[in-house]
Amino acid sequence: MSALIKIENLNKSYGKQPVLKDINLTVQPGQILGLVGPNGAGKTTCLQALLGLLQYSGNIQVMQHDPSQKRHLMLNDVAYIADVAVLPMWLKVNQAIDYMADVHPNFNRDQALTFLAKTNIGLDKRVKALSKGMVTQLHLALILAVDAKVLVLDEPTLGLDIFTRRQFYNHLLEDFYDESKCIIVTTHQIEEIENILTDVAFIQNGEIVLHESVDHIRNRFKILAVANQEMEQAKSLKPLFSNSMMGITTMLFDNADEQSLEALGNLTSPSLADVFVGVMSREELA
Amino acid sequence: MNYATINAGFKREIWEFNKTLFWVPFILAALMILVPILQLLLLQDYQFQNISFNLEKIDGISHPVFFAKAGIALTTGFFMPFLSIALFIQLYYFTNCLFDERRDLSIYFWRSLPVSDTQTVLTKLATGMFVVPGVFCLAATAVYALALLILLITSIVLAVGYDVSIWAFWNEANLISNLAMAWLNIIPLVLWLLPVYAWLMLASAFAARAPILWAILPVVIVLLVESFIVAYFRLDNRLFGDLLLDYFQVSRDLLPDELAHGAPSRTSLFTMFSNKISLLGSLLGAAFIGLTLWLRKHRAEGA
Repeated sequence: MSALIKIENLNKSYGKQPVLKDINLTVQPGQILGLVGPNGAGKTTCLQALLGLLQYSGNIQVMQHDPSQKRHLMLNDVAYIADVAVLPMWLKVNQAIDYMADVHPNFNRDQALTFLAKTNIGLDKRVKALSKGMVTQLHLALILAVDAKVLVLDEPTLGLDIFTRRQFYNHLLEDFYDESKCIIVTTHQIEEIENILTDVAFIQNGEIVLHESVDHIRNRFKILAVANQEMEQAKSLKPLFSNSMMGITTMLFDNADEQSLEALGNLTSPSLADVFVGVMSREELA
Repeated sequence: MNYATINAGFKREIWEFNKTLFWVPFILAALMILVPILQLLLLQDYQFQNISFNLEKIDGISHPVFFAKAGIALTTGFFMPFLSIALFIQLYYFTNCLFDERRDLSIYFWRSLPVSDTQTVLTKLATGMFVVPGVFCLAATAVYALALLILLITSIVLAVGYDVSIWAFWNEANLISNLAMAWLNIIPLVLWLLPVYAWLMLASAFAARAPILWAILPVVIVLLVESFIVAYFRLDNRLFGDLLLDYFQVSRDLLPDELAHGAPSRTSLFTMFSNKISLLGSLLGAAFIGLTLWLRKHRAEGA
C-alpha cells in the first residue's frame, strides 16, 4: 500500500536559526500518528510545511501532491485544523455549512448537522455569539464532515473541557476514521490520545528523535519500580530516566533485558507520557 | 475552480459586508424618497401656486431637446449620489477586505479549504469593483423606477385633471437607454480607478495594523520628499505629483464636446471615464494585484 504522506529530508530555518533538521516521516493508510514534542520543538512548523503553508527545503508528497505547488488541489483530499477557534466572528453557523458545501467536493452536510445536533449550537447563531468551546466544536464539526484521506490536527482540543475532548476523540474514531485514511495529531495531552494512536513521533529541537509504532514502543520500553536496596544495580543497567517520589523510584529502560529487570522490582509497560518524558530527558537516543 | 466555488466566494464577501452593502444603499434610497415627500408636505400655498404656474408653462414646451435633457438629468440625478457613496464604500471595502481576515485569524480557516489564493484575491477585487457599485446602482434603479411611477401618475393626473400634457417626456426622455447607460458607466469608472483599488488591497494585505495609514502615508511621504527636492533644486515640475494629478484630474480637453459645452448626452460620462483609462495605470494596477497575491500567499507564513 502506498504511503499517503512521505516527508524526506525536510529542513526549515528562520534566518540562521534551524527549526527543522532533516525530518523523515512516512504515514500509511490506517495510521494515526501522534507528533509529540515540547513547546518550540518544531511540531507546528513541520505540520505547516506538510500543508504547504510555508516555504521549506526537502521533499514532501501528500497523496502525490507537492504541497508547495497548487495546494488548493491537495486540500480536496486533505483536511486540517491549524488553529482552533479561528472562525470569523461575522459568520453564521448555517452560512459556514453552506460555504463548506459549495467549496469542498468531499464535504458531507448531513454529517456536520448530525454532529452539531449533539451540541447546543444553533444553526442561525453567529460565531461571535458562541463560547470559545462552541466555536471549537463548530470548527471540528465542519472539518470532520470532510471525507478526506488525510486529516491533520494541531492541538485540536486546546481549551476544551474534558467532556468535549472525549466527545471529540470518540467522534474522530467513530465517524471519521477508517483503514483507508490517516490522521496526524499534535497535542500536549498525550495521555488522552495514547489509546487511539497507532504510531508516535517524538520531536525535539527540530529533529525526530523517535518514530515507532505504539505497540513496538510498549515492547521496547519498560518501566521498573525499584526498591532502594536494588537501586545501584538498576542504575548499572543504564536507565533512560529515573524519578523518585514518595519513597518509590521508577526507572525507564530502553531495550533492556526483561529477565534482569524483573529480578530488581515491579516491571510494567510505560505510558507514552512516561516514554516521552524519558526520551526528552536524555540527550541522544541510542 | 467551478461555478459553485466562485459563487461561494462572492456569497462570503456579501455575508461579511452585508450591513454595509444593504443598509447604506437602503438608507440613501429611503432619504431620496422621503426628503422630497417631506418637502412636498411642507409646501406653502404660494409655492403651490408657483408650481401650477410652472406646469402651465411646461404644457407649452414641446421641444424634444428639453425632454431629452430632462431625461438625462433625471437619470444622472438619481445615480450620481449612489455612485458617489459607492465610491467611499469601495475604498472602505478594499482597505479592509484582506486585513480583517488576518486580524481575526480567520485566514487560518479560509486557507484550510480548497480555494486558491488567486481565486480569493480576484473574487475580492471583483466584489469591490463590480458588486459594490452594482448594489448601489440597484438601489438607484429602484428609486428611479419609483420616481418614474410617481411621474406617470402625475402625467395622468395633469392630463385628466388640469389638461396639461407632458406625454412628450415619455417619448423623448429615452428613459431605458439612460438607465442602461447609467449602469454601463460603472465599467470605465472602475477600470479608471483600478490602480487605486489595487493599491488599497495591497495595503490591506500588507498592514499589520491600520491599513488606511499604510495606504495614505507612502503617497504623502513621496509627495513631501518630491516637493522638498523640487524646491531645493528649483526644478520646473514634479514627476510623481504631476502624474498623480494628471491621472485623477478631469481636464476640459478630455471631456466630450457636448459635456464641455454644457450640453451632456447620455454617453458623456462613459466617454469621459473611458478617456481616463491609461495603459500605465492598468499595468500599475495589475502589478499591485500581483503583489497582493504574493502577500496573501506569503505575508503571514503559517496562515
